[in-house]
Amino acid sequence: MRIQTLYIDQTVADLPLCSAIAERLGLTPKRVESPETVYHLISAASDPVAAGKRTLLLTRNKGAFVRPCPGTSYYTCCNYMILHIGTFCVMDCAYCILQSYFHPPMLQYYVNQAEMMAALDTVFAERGIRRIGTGEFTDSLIWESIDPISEKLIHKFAAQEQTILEIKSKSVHINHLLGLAHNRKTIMAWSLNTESVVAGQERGTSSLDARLRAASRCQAHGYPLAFHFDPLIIYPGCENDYLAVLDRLFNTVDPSGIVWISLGSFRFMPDLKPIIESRFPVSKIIYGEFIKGMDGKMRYFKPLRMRLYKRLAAYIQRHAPAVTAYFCMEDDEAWEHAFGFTPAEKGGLPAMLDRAAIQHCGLRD
Amino acid sequence: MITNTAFIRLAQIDLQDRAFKISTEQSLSGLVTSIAEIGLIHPPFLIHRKASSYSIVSGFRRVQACRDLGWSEIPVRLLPADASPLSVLSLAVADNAQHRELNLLEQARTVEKLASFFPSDIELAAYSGCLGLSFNQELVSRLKRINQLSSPILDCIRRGCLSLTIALELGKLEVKAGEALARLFEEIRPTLNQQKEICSLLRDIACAEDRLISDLLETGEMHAILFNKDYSRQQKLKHVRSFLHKRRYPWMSRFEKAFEENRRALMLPHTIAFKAAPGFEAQEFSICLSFQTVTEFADQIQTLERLPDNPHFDAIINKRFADSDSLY
Repeated sequence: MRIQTLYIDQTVADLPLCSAIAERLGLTPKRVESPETVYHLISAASDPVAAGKRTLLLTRNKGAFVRPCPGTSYYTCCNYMILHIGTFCVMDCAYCILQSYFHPPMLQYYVNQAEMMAALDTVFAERGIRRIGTGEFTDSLIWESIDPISEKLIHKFAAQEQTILEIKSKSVHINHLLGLAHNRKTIMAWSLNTESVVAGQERGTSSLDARLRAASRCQAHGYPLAFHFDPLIIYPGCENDYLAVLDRLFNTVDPSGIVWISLGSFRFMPDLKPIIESRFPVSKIIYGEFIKGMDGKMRYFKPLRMRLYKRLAAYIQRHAPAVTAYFCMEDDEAWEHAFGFTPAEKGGLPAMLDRAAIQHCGLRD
Repeated sequence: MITNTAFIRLAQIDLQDRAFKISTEQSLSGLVTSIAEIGLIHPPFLIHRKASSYSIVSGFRRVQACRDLGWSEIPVRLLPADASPLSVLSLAVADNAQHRELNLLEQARTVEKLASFFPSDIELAAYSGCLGLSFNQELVSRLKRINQLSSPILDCIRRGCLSLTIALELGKLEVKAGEALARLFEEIRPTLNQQKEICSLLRDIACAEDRLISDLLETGEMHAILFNKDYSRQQKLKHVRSFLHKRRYPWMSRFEKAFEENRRALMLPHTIAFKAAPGFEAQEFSICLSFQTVTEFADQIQTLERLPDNPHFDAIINKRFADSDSLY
């Protein structure tokens, strides 16, 4: 992490975790009365997104630690739950929706972890299978160098039987996680993309090879795996490039240990476009053929994304037929066209993923 | 501010000093006739600047009209020589703004002249209210940018062909492209939304293809549209928009074309409107009937009942167009 300035919300300043993080970062923290002080500083920067990636605020999560993924009604959502450990990311992907999602975008790490653990206890005490991930509002593994939160969570989840934790990342900070007694209740997941997208659109992320090697090492230590082809970027030759990534994936890890693979094409709120134009002037990703989707997000023209989906789905079904492949936020037409069925025919997408989790992770309701 | 009325010889008025000039109107014909017939109703404001020389504060055209009429002296209202520059400029602006609405260039000129007196846009905006103007901080900032535009774009603004928003958009482009688009808009006269659309499409195409917008405007396709003598202004506008849309969205354009061909082949009467969802994103299609009598309604129902047997209808609903392999 290349944090240059560390702020601590004075309401959590006395927590031992704050001083430990400051020591690991080698920074003298500045105390602030409220997060708003830091928000104003970030907002006033010429590039608030870049400023937000260099400035870390240790604070309290005043809202819910466990909350539903913000899906929309028209497209099929998987009913994923998010464990809200922090916000934003030190990596810098051109397509990252977090650039316009937070106002302003800012690295926040929630140090009131006792409350987070209590929130998890509440979830664990409820009946029913659940899938919870830490990689929605941030990257799951970027915090490990300042606080091994994944390690703590892996232990926590290993001690129960009905909820899985998905750690989702584009980095490979996994050495300290390999020997843990995870009890198969943690799925190690990576976002994958083509070599050209990784090289051109994902600043500061681990290489595709590194991600695949990390996945292989995790698999060797018994971790269930998952992969997310999201966002799929459409460009000339992208289909063969994505098939090549799938090929490398299935040659690097044993498909029988993959819980799920998700596919989702690039989609974004319209206000992300000027940010990408300004911050990534060489990037062409926003000049694809986008239309405004039913959720107000810009999406590739449907026939274009269905064409790509169909080829990738066919490849996965042929080379890893037992793997649960699914779409993140697509409608029945896309499902029918690419997979030959709709989620409703399989009991719904949440049920499909729950079954995959039960099978691979030994969950019990 | 106290002024004195006096008669001043026209030869003593410095017509080159435009420090207080706000108006962009240059034509004198109506004014000359009016003064010749009725006389000079409102004497101009002048200020004594140098020895035996006066500067015009307000009334540049009136002074010029009187000269054109061959007058040797005119009645004026003289400002005190020690009046502060801001108070004199304020009078110049207010005298214009109280008679009529200032056009965009006059507003920009006003902001440019006032800017040196105010450290921030917000203070300038607040002061503008005293002059009968209602600028806000954002407008002040935008008007300042108007002054940096090239002459051809400013000319288009003067002729009323460009809005502030579009003019500033053109100012962000390469100079050659901005000027070419200003000329294009003046020729084919798109609406404001169409101008925005054309700017956006051109910018995206240029970025996607690593080309200059000015090069895109010089392509053979654009020339074939713009120099086609058989096209009316509206036809040129339609073809320019269509060309840019196809270039920016080639797949979507082909899909739309295939849909339209099949829809037309259904031979539906104009009273039955058959539409796809915007962008073909949702699966739904819609049919809207227009009728006045029960007979008309019954006829349309009969037409609709035949649709499922029509292969073009099937092609549309299942999106199986002639080149479906390349589209899906």
